[in-house]
Amino acid sequence: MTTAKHPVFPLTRRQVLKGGSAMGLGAMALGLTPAWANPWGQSAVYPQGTEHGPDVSLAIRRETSPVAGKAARPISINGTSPGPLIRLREGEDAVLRVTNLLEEPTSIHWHGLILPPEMDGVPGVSFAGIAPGETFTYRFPVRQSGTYWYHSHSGLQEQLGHAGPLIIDAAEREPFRYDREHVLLLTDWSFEDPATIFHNLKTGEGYYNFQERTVADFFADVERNGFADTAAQRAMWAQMRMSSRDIADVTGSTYTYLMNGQSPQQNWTALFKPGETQRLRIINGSAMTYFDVRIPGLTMTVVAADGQPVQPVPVEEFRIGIAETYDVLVTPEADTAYTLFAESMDRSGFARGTLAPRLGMAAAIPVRRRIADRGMEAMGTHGGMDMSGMVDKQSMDHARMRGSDLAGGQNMDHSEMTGMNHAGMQGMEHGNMAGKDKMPPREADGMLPVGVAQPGSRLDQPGIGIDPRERRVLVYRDLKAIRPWPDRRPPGRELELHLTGNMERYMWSFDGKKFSEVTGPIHFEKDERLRLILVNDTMMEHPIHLHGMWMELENGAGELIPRKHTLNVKPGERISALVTADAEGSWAFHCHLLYHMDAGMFRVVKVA
Amino acid sequence: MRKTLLVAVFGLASTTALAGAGHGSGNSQADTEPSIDRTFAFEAGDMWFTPGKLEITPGETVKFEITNAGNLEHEFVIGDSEAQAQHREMMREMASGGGHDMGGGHHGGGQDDAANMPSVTIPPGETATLVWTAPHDVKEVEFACNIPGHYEAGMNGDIRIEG
Repeated sequence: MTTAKHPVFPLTRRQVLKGGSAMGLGAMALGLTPAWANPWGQSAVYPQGTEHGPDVSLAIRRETSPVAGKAARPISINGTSPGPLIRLREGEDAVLRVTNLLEEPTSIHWHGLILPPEMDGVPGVSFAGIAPGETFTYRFPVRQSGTYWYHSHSGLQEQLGHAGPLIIDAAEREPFRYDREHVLLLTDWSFEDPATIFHNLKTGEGYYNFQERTVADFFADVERNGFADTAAQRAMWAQMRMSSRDIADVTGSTYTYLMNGQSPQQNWTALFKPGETQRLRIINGSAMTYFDVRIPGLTMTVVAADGQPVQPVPVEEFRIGIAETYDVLVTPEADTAYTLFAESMDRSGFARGTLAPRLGMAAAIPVRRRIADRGMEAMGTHGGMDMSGMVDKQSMDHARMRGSDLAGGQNMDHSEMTGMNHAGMQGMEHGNMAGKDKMPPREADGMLPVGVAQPGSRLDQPGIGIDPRERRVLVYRDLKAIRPWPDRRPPGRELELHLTGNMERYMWSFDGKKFSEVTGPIHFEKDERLRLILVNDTMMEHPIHLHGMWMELENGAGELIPRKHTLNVKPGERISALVTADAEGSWAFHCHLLYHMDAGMFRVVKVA
Repeated sequence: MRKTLLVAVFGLASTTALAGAGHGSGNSQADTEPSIDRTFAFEAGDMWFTPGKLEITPGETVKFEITNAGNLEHEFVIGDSEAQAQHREMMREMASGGGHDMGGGHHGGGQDDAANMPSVTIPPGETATLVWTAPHDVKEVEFACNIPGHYEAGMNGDIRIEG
């Protein structure tokens, strides 16, 4: 660690010159868009301005710079927001000097990188943060390759554009071939202050949800489902202090969704030559937004997830959780434009760009789908079809649930229901839910065999609002490693954590306790192999991120389970991952929905 | 291995019927031993072939010895790009329709032309052979692995037939 005495301008002359030329290019159309958003991407023929490792200097500033053509005050990194692409090489020792020119402390976390804890960049967990005017030098050996990103881990700074792509070129041949690559960084920008957004979430449930069900919807439902069912469902959602349209808590009503820093109108364009294979490195660097990504007219072959190679999967659409990355290959043959379309999960907006053989082209923008309703499966379907589990818990007769005597929900046991903030679902016995006959065989110690998906997982489903019959959609079960990961030990123990929350009070937590309420860290024993079981007791998706160690997602792929740094857990779902606790020290473990993390869905994992 | 060789023979028989080239299989059944003009050693990895392309002359009978150096099962199929695409689509349908094991068991299911392309399936660590005679009426064919995603990730190459 080194600290500069004076708040110096940290750019070298070389960088200034480089920045200048990038700016020259950008001045035509790109404004302050980062240089790596160069339409020609990266290939041997068209090198571009990038911060190449191993020595990189980054200056963090708050500055006036337009976003989507409107006046804004984002946080910039070396003059752009989002920040520059940092390109490292597997096997080198990276030295990243970060100078804080803000008036408050800042930090950079290298998302998905395996590195010493003091270089992980989480203030209060692994280092002190970077005070205003100071320079912190991150030094770590680069021991992996692939598509990652970096972002602030201080307060809500990430929402202001304090993020950028991080790519590590592999030391050995990667298990796929391509001619040109493009980075697609997806973010959600708001002209509101992040603190205001957080305040609004705290004080007004559904503040940004303008798609609440209306009286018209009610009558449409009555026509479809009958009055009794409709009323019963409504009453149920009301009792849970949720709306069935709580798909996202911050929506397109405040967000402008950006692709590489550009709004859909600005239409960031990636160029290709027909017949070339393009590698698209897609990063969800947003604060709060799940995206569904597709390129109408092209099949995307997924070749990496969270930077790690996977057996290739051809799909037409995939959902990308916050902080996840996917690498896909596309080979457009025609001399025509294709729309890069990333629709927000709640359908309140989209990010959009174009893949084209020439600048200035555009293709049709797909019609946005309607917002989905959270069906009752969100309430803990565990297995994906019905509510039998919940009914068991509440001693309700399943048949009666759908019966006409339930008008208004009056026959339901309200004492049970009312107590049901999301934490209330914790007590459910998940083991009973999938039905005994479907239970996978267990080992002698009562644990499931390695790689087997948990009963209660829905890893073969893409999630709410996507119809897999419409087009081929990636699901977690599709992800398979190319070879087994090094640690083949079965887990020595299981650690179960519940994702909990109360939407009305905007409280989010693990096991019902906010970070401010817990007394100590979660302990992993050094070098132990453990199974982390995540049970989502809430009715929203949560992208769960473990720092410092991989999570090998037990998705049924046996010894070829994929490893990830961020796991999306669907509402009511129970999933597991194997972890090798080889990284001594304290690490952050949290929901990557920025405001959920800030609200308390955060823990420290201590490996000792 | 025995199974692999049988597939090779079957694939070849079908091709000879189509192309009328009239050659036997690559393994050492004495009565059908064809005269091999050239032998090519191929390596199939995750997810690549070496060499990446090939040039041969019309009517030439060549023997491919394909070693699977990867961790996953691969196939080596020869055919024009349309037949390959058709075969690929069929295999993808099968993979998404049924089990999650994408490799294996895919031949013999369809009655499309694609199933008639000469092909071998090679388990990891093994070597398979395929004997094939270049037709006179086609300028270019592809070799490919059509296990879902493998072609797209790079397991394909052109064979130019010239001379």
